Amino acid sequence: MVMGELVYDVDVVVLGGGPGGYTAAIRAADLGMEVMVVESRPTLGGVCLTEGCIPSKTLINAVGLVENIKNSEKMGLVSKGVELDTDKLRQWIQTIVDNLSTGIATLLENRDIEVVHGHARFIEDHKIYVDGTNTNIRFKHAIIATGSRINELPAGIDLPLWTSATALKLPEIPKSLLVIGGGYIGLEIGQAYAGLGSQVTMAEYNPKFLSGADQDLVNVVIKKCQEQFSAIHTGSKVTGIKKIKTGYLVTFEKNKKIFNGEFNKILVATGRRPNTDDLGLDVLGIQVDKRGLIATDDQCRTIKKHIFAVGDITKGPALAHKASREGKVAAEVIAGHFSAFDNVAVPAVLFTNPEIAWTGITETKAKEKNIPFKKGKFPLTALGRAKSMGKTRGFVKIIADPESLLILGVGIAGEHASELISEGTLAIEMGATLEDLIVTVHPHPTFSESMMEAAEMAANGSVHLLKRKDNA
Amino acid sequence: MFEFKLPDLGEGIHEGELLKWYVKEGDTISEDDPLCDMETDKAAVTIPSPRTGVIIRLTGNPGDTIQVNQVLVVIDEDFKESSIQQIKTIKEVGPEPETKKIAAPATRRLAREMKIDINAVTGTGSAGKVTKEDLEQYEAGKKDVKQEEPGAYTEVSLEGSSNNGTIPFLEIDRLPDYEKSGPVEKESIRSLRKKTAIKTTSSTILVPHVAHMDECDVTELENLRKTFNSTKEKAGNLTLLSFVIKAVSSLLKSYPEFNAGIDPHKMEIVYKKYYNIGFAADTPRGLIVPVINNADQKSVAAIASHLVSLSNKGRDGTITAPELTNGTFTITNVGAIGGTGVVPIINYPESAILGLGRVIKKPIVKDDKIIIGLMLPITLCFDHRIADGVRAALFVRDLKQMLENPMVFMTGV
Ligand SMILES: Cc1cc2nc3c(=O)[nH]c(=O)nc-3n(C[C@H](O)[C@H](O)[C@H](O)COP(=O)(O)OP(=O)(O)OC[C@H]3O[C@@H](n4cnc5c(N)ncnc54)[C@H](O)[C@@H]3O)c2cc1C
Repeated sequence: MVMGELVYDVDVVVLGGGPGGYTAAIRAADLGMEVMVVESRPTLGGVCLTEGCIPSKTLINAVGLVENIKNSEKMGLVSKGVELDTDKLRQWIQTIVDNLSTGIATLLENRDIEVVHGHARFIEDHKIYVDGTNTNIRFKHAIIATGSRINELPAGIDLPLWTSATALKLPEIPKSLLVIGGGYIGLEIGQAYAGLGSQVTMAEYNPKFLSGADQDLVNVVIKKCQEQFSAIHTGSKVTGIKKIKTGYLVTFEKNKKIFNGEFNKILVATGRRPNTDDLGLDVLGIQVDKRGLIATDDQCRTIKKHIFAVGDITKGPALAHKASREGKVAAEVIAGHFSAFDNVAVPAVLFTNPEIAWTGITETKAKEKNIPFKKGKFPLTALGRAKSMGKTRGFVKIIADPESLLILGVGIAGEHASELISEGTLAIEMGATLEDLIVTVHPHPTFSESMMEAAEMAANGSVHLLKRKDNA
Repeated sequence: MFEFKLPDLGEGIHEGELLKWYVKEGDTISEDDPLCDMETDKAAVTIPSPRTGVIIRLTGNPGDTIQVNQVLVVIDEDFKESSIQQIKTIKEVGPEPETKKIAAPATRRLAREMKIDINAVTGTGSAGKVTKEDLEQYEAGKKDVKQEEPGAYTEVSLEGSSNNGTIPFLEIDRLPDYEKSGPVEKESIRSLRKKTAIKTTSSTILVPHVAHMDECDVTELENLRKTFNSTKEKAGNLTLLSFVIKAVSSLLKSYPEFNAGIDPHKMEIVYKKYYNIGFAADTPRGLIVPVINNADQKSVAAIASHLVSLSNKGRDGTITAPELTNGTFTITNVGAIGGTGVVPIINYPESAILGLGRVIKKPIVKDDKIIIGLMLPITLCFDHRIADGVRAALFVRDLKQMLENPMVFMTGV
């Protein structure tokens, strides 16, 4: 032992303090175990809190308020020259993030969970070493929750391009912004900057946006983007970026045709990769697949019985709520509980404008897998609450098993989709049938009524549509 | 590759029970070699192979019900060793069965805590959902099984009944190990035996039976019958049963509750305005109930000749499904063999059944004198949900009167 070296002995060590990690740590401590968390960032909360979910949604909310106010003129709202003070907004976002991060730190502190800040690596089967702190932690069980990071730019491009993390810090509102990558992060931030006043151009390599999602949902957003953005280039490849005085000169290739564009700033949102390459996994004999993901069973256990993995580093959607649920499962399994990640439906939410969300099986997947289904689709134009708020874009659709009428999937585009989707998820997890949704009283006038209406449409046609579908 | 579908097995037969295979997968078979034995409502048949080749796939196991036009067997006519292997692998790799059970998250968790594979549990909730109660029930079953052996404890469930579909106190005890006490022979319950078992079980469980008994002096009827039979050489086959059928079918018009049925789901009694009388007939394969349609509109002679032809068809297995369906009332006559009386089980979903015992000479008291009467024991069993005892007593009284004074009812008064 080297002088000044610290050695801890714990029941559980958690690598990473994001939603997967801190949730696991709290649960494990509550179940009576001695727990330590290693986090390489100076603060807790992971990507989600520092540069993901929370700052992006805080920004999107503020931008949405501006649009709402502007759109409310027809309701008699008098608002001349509504402006956003970006300095204040930046501060507001930071306050929220700091606040929540301190909150997490307090939660851990209250449970006597020690947090070590530094990069952790496995050095033995039951031991990690934390870089920079000269700390060794011997553990009975480890939970790996190291999350993901932004894909590096292709080699050779050495330019100060923006990532989602940069954009969320609001360094400036560029006059023109090119967003490369039309995934949910690109769409969300692209729309936010359009709302802040940037002329946004979107470039997506694939011919379609979000090809795994149902295109009828995606189209609701794309339609709005077409109104907001200066240009949308799908099926387009960025083949060159050159620094010029005003910003960048970008070369695109689409259908073998080359064209150029000039932009003040470029946001690269081309995906993320799991943080599994520098963990010392080879010491444990744990391998990652070609995407860098660690294989786990439904108890979040890796091939090593005492090592668990949760969050963005395991298969499944890279979303915070999936990470935190897995974190709980891992902690419970370690405590000897019969827990498992056996969820049938993990909701996906895009905080775009309008929001879209889906849960359970998508229509696309059902068709691909030849799963028979019955569908009900209820447009928000037929909903009183949506009309009164001037938010009639979008729809709710429900797909159900044609025989048992069990609800298999729900897709929502429109205002409050992010909130409404949970009713669908609960319905699927509980094995609810269309009838269950139909006979449940939904408050009036609310957006939630659209769930009931869509279920009724799927069953036999809704009472609020002019034409009744008789054999839907 | 030839897919052999179960051929049409004759009028009205749309399914059959697979009794046995003569071949197994991988066997070579020649055209017209026996392929399998099937049993239908009518008869047992051996189905020959339509082609020569190698059996690639058999689609069912003995005991399975196969529908007409369902693929029975796949035969490869220009076979090579490799093709068998190929098919076998395809079969194994084929689409994985979707066996995941629907259950609420908390129930799934409970199942894990109870160390139960939830996919093995039968769900009684809506849309087949597994509930906490199902798990408890399954666990109880498992415990008994552990202590003893498979099949130890089952709670009988009935579709459509409330109370979670189970009958309180109804437990099926494990059988003692008979083999310990002496040699036994075992036979699986299938085809007609199974059908009879199902029908009689549901009838006894679902229908509150009441029996009303009496004896009729059929001296006069016997005389009449003998006269008929001796005068008409050709129709020398009028039986007692044909008279009873005639009498019952006309009497039922005044007693609609015994020509009815209950629809418990709709809470309705369905009175049938047609009188199709079934009669229990013993055949080499077991009990069948051929039906004489519109017996009320037929003469005794016509009924008698139907009785003969239907019985013959039943015996040689050529009877068709329509001849065995749509009965509204059943008569069972065990008199030919013996017995002072019978308490039959209603042929569900009918509402009553008449049992006839053996006609014997008995001393009876008539006009204060002991004379010899030719006595026929009769029993009417009826569904107490539909009718009360008084109606049965009246029915039996009227029937007795008809059979004792045959000239009256035969002349249509
Ligand atoms: C712009 C953006 C918006 C998003 N919006 C949403 C949203 O709206 N909803 C949603 O559900 N998800 C959203 N996500 C995704 C979400 O942020 C992630 O799915 C979630 O953070 C994953 O949690 P995690 O615990 O697996 O990992 P992370 O949150 O990535 O946390 C991992 C932590 O581990 C630390 N770490 C890594 N390696 C080591 C090491 N060797 N030693 C010590 N510490 C280490 C990292 O510093 C990090 O803090 C968004 C992401 C981005 C980028």
